[in-house]
Amino acid sequence: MDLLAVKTYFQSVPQASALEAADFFATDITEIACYIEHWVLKGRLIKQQTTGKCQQACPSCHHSTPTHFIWNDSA
Amino acid sequence: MKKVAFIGNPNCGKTTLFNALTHSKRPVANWAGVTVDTAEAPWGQNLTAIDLPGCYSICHADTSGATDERIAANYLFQEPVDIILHIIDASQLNRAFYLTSQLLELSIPIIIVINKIDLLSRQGKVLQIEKLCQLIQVPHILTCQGNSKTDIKGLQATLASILETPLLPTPRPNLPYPPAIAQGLSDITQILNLTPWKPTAYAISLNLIAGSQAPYLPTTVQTQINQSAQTLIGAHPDTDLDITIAQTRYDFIRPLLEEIVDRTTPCPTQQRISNQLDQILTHKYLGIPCLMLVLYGLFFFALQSASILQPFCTQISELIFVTGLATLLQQTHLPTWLHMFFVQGLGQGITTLASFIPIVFTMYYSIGLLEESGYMPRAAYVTDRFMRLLHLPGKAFIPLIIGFSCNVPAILATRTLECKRDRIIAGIMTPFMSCNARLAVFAIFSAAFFPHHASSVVFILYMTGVLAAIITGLILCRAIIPGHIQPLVMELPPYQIPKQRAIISRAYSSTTNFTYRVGKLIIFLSAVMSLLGTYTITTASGTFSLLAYLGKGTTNLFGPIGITENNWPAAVAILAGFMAKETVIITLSQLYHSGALNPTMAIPADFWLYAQQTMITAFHQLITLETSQTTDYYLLTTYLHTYFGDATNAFAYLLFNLLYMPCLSTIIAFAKEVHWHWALFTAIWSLSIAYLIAHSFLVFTHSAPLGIPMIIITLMIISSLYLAKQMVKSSLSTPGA
Repeated sequence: MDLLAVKTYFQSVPQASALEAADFFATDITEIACYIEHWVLKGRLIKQQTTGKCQQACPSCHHSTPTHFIWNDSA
Repeated sequence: MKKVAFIGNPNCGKTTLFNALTHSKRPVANWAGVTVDTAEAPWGQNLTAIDLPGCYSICHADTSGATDERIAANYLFQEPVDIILHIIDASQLNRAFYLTSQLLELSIPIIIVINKIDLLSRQGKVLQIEKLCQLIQVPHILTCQGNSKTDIKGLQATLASILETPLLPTPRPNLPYPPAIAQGLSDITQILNLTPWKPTAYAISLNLIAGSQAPYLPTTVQTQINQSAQTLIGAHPDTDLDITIAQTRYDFIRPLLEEIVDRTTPCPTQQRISNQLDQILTHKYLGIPCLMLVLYGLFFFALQSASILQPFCTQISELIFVTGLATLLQQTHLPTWLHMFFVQGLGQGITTLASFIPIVFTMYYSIGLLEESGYMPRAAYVTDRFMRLLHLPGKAFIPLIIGFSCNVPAILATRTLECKRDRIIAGIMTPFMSCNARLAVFAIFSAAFFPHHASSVVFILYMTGVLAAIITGLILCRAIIPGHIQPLVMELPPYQIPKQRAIISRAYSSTTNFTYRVGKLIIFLSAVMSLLGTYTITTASGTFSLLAYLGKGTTNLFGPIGITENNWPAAVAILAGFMAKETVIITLSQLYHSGALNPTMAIPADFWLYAQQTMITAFHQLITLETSQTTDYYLLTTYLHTYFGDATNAFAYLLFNLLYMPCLSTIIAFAKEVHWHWALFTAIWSLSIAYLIAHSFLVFTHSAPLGIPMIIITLMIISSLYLAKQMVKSSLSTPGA
């Protein structure tokens, strides 16, 4: 896992949560949080709170992580 | 004196350790961003400890990051630091080691303290300290649990023995930066080696390549470096150099952590409870009602618990400083003005102060509970969606909550915001948050005019302040200072049971400071009032004291908010409130009780018998938790009823007091943080809003027609907005805006 791999993951999985990303990379959520922060602070990852629609789209996190991310290529 | 800089991520426990090691009393709490400026304290015989604000990296020495991070970075690059005491939160090793990797590149002796070590074992992890010492070549890595007295004592002793020996600069970990970056690094380091920044040249060069600025360097050096940096950036247009550097750091951290952290079975009870609580408290729909409930509970608790202590404090103070002093002075033949100064000025002022000390204490205590529990960042999180309507990050909500205790630290707390525009808007919104000084006015007025709904009235007033802040924010962000929304990146620390001793100690310290500050003002106000009250002026309508004459003159200014000429003390109190809000209720009390309005004052025939009875009553009320008030208190409420007439006039007065002009200290703090232009705007804007809302309330309740005052208020609002619009160009054109 590195910053570019995290970028590729969020580009390919819209509205993914940190927990889902951690599952994907088989790592701890505290470890992936740093990578996410880098991209959020750079304006490339946009934070979104859970909506009914994306709760349906993400049964894996059981709605325990109310924050999801969207990749923004234009930043 | 050797300088030891305490540095680490936000909320890792730097200030807790700083306080424990240097016996200081800096504020601490369970959320990131409590420390926003540097503080120095002597540590032992030959050391000076420096507490720096928390930071995740030392890249932002320029104006691009949050002010608190900039302060920490600037300090490390500009001040001669002899030793770095790097504090690491054991539960956030990955994030902490990013900063560690940067600090190691500074070539300054480093001692690492891994704090909150108990949290690591709860995560099911064990740290191999000796291996870590070898891998990063830092000989002194200590562990501790910041809230354990035994650990702190042990740490104190170990640090003392380490600091007695000479420490060598920590060797730089040679991170494998790509060849292009390594070349640029070498070029820039060569330039910096010829300057006084030679010791930290390597770290500065890396920051510059990552896109940061170094405003502390001389212009000629900056020009040379910029050329090298631009050549490097130009040669790699498709590469994010900062991301490449960050990745190299993570490539260093990841295997390091894998080697030093052994995983065992986690004991996730606390984390599980935190997550369960978060599912409710940070829920998309339940989050905001929960926040409202928490705030209401906070005010209710503060008011109710204070009402038990209030009669006791007032009775004892009245006995000593009013009746006792008057009895004593009766036997002397002091001039009238001196008698007024001591009894109606000082004595009455101290008694009024004593009556609201309990509420100030309970409010500080309640906010302390909120801060210690870890709810504060959650409040920022749940309000993030709403703050985004104002184009502000949720983090901007934290200064607003701190404003409930005092506006000055709240203004300083805006330093945690990354963007200057956000700091300006949050700073202008902050004074609308009702501080403790205003709470004293609300508590006494609401108990006098709305005895059965006092808590609700106070809560409504607080919410009116929040609403005024939101409207102000909306106008500013939509029409005056538009800008981009900054992302909210904030740690949510695990909830913890608030440590009572720490909260009480902090509330006590804040209340003591408050009392000293008000005490000084009481002496000043008493002197002014007794002097002005002694001289008389004869006019066509009668003979008045100079104070009454001047006071009546000012009532014309406050006519639109329902202050009549007869109630001139209310106008004088507002003017005194410009200096400090605490003085409003004290001035009112002193003037209503003063000779000008209350010429007779009963002095008991047998003071000692009176004292005995008063003490018995006071202690009886305290033990039986009775909340009935004192004679003096009833006298004040009677005056309030007499001079304000009905409850609508009193409520309009409260609305005006809530919203009008921040106190002088807040204005100065805001001017220092941003610019005096913005401080001036805040003063004019809040005054206009106060007039508008208080006057509109009276017009609405009395069904009166809108008149000239409304035209004047509208003109004030338009002119202040015009002033702000003019300022935006100059203020926001500076770098980092």
